[in-house]
Amino acid sequence: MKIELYLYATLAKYLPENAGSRSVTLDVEDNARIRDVVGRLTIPEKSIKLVFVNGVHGQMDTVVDDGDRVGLFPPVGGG
Amino acid sequence: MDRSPGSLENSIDVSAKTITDPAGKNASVIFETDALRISGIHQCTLKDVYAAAMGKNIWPMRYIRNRGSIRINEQIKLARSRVAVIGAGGLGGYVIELLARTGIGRITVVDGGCFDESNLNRQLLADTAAIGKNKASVAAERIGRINPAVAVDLHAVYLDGGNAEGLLDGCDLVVDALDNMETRRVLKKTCRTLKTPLVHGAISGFEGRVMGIFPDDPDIKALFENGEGPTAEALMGTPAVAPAAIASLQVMEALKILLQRGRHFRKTMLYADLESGTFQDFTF
Repeated sequence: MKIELYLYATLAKYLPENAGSRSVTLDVEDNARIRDVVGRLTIPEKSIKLVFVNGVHGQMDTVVDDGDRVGLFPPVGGG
Repeated sequence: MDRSPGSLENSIDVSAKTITDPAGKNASVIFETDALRISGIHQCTLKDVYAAAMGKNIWPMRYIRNRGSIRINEQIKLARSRVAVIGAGGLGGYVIELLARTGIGRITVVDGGCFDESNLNRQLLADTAAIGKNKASVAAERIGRINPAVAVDLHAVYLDGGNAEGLLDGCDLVVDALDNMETRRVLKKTCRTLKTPLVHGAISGFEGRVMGIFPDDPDIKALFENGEGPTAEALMGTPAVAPAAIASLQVMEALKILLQRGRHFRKTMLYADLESGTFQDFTF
């Protein structure tokens, strides 16, 4: 199945080279968790503060479904 | 209501003018020179004169272009509102500017820092003459020049756990224009204690977020947690457009909360990515 992974702010640098500026479509195994997807792209888990699935707050162990849009944010604190 | 000759009401009636606005509608207005003269005669503030005028459906000329989007009873409500802005830097400079122009009656400004050259790329209140000056003091001067009908509480200190409650007590709403998570955690806790709504904003590069946080909302700790190493805003910088855009959205959120209208970003983070031109909601 496929998911769309969106990486915001400093996390965008972990997007694969063939990806867009913000998101990438990934093939993932059934019952994959967000943690598995994050591991595949070698994103340090500690750098992720907020996880959203289809615009709703989730967790690193949330199981993803086909077609899900997953958004990951680092801390954003400038002012 | 005292309409006798020599009363404040009578002075306002005598000075009111009828104008035709760009939409072709007539409006009764009072000009600031007249309002200032009346405040001198009656030994009251400009704010008092405007409050009395608006109570008689006479628009202060300085707010006439609010008409059509803000009703006069809402303009009165804003004039009776007190908003605290914590931080007078990138976000805070624009937030303070917009609140003062819109006609918030009392603005509390808290910032212990001074302007330096690295602020000049984005901070509205940072100009070459302001370098080295305290940010809250410069903000207070600016408010006075923009709108003398706004009362200002100037606090040239950094907010901390020891002073936060005293600084924010009595405010109707607080705007988070801070640049660090530690102080945001203090601010969030204080707003919960005082039962005051908080409008959060933060920026990084060409991105930023806005959220209305009400005292009874779930406490989302991850929102204000630090990461490891350099912050996102340190790595991506803070160019001018993000604070201007996010501050506008924060002030809109503040107006919606104060006037109880529109859709609030409550338990919802609005994330703006200005480079890709996307605005997205993320709900908790």
